[in-house]
Amino acid sequence: MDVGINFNGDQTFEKIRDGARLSEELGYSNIWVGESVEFNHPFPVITAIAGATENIQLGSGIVSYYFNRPLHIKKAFETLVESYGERFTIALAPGDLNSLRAAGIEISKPLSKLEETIAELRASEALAKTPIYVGASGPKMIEVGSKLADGVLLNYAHPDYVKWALEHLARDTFVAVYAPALLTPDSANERSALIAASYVAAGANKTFQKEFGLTEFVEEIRKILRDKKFSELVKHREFLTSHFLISGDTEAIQKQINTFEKMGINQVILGSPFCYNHDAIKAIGRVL
Amino acid sequence: MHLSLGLVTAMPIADSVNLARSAEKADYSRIWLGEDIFHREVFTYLSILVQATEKIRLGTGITSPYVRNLPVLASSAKAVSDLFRGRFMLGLGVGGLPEIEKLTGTRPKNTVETLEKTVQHLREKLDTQIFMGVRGPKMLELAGRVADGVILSGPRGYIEKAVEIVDTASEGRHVEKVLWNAFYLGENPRLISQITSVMMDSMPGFAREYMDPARAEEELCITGPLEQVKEEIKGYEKLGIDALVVGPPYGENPVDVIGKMGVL
Repeated sequence: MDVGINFNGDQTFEKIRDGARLSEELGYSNIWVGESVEFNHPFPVITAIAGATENIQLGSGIVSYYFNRPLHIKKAFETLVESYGERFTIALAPGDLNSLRAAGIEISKPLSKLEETIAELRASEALAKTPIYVGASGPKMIEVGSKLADGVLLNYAHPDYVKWALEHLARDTFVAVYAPALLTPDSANERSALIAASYVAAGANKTFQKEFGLTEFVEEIRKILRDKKFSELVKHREFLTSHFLISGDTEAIQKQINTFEKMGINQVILGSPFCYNHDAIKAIGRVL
Repeated sequence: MHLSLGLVTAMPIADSVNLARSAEKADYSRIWLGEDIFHREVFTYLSILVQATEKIRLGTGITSPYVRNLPVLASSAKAVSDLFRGRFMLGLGVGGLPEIEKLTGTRPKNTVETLEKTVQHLREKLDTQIFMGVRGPKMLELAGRVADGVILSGPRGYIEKAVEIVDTASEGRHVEKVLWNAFYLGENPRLISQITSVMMDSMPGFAREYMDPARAEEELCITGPLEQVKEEIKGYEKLGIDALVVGPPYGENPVDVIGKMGVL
């Protein structure tokens, strides 16, 4: 089972480079760089990691096809392939809806826009060997993504949720489980992990909420995040941790990875804040 | 007079890395990377160049707020600024109108206002020098008011006028003037004639007023043997130009040209 790791542009480049080198050395299969308006843009971050590592698979995870023009996504990866060779992957998603709205970016027809973006990327000869994945959580995006792209990254951490998501695949394809992760004990990053998990919960799709009876819970989490009253997340800590976070000690995380492997998942991606703690990267790296 | 290297994203990266290293070795102070919007991605390209060099400063020369939306422009500029650790400069301008129209489907509107708002927004997010690559009188005035420097291009008479507009608007604050015209060390009349014709096509009316069309090649291209080029540069220095861009097409052997110009 491949295990990937996520770095974002919210750390210094020195720390990202060190973490990326460590991940490559210890046998993580992929590095995925996410996008947020609050963070440094993923293209320079991916470039810096490419320059600091040798051959680990590296890519966006995810980059928004609303914030970024499909042309720029294509050109950025063509530029990377030209300089560093065939070691890149592109993962796309609409992006954070609240940030898009705040920036005045019109969000319409996410599935057709996805189709257009993939078509533009596929038209590039330079990217013929670069896999394209779709970050998905809603049933329609999972279905369309699995049909059009080379695989999907599921934003779920709990086996029941993953099982439900797998039922919506249009075909047998590459599937990764991509969720915030925390190797415990880690008091320094516990709060970040809880906030990251709550953002995933807050972004839950309506069909998913209904399926698992989470409508009220999601509404409450959204309110907490809207009001920025993060301390109130503590009362949901247990549920958020068990359902929206890959967490525990080395053995517990290994066990979760094994569970996903048995379900036919191709890769588990340990999402931020896992990357903040280099001892955690080492600990999980040793058992890969 | 400082020397800068001019590169564009239409150039293969390996060639640019080679030229960037030569410029650094020849003690050039900066590299400006022009964004050809249908070629390579400018911030990715710059991130590759910064890793291939040691200390030379690098900047976009220019990128346009009509090409990327503000959050992406800001987070990209912030990323390269952090990656470059003080070596980054942001060059902004409207860009080539036909290319932007082809990309976005519309002709850029309210350009002065858009550029001013973009600079204001980026000043809040970034601690980096902002240059403006602009041409028209209102834009030059804006650059004089809000930018740290201006990248100029056009006939000699126009450059003189542009320096005057920028200096008047800057009210005593020094706004650096960078000149980026076509550059070719040596003789190549055919190429110079082709380049002049392309430059004439994209030249705004305001700049045309200040040139003698019969002398278009001399007015728009810095070209000729080394001694002649040196004299021309001295002339621009007298007009108030602080830095000259040695850019495409350079000369027959670009690496040699960068070295020869570096000893000036």
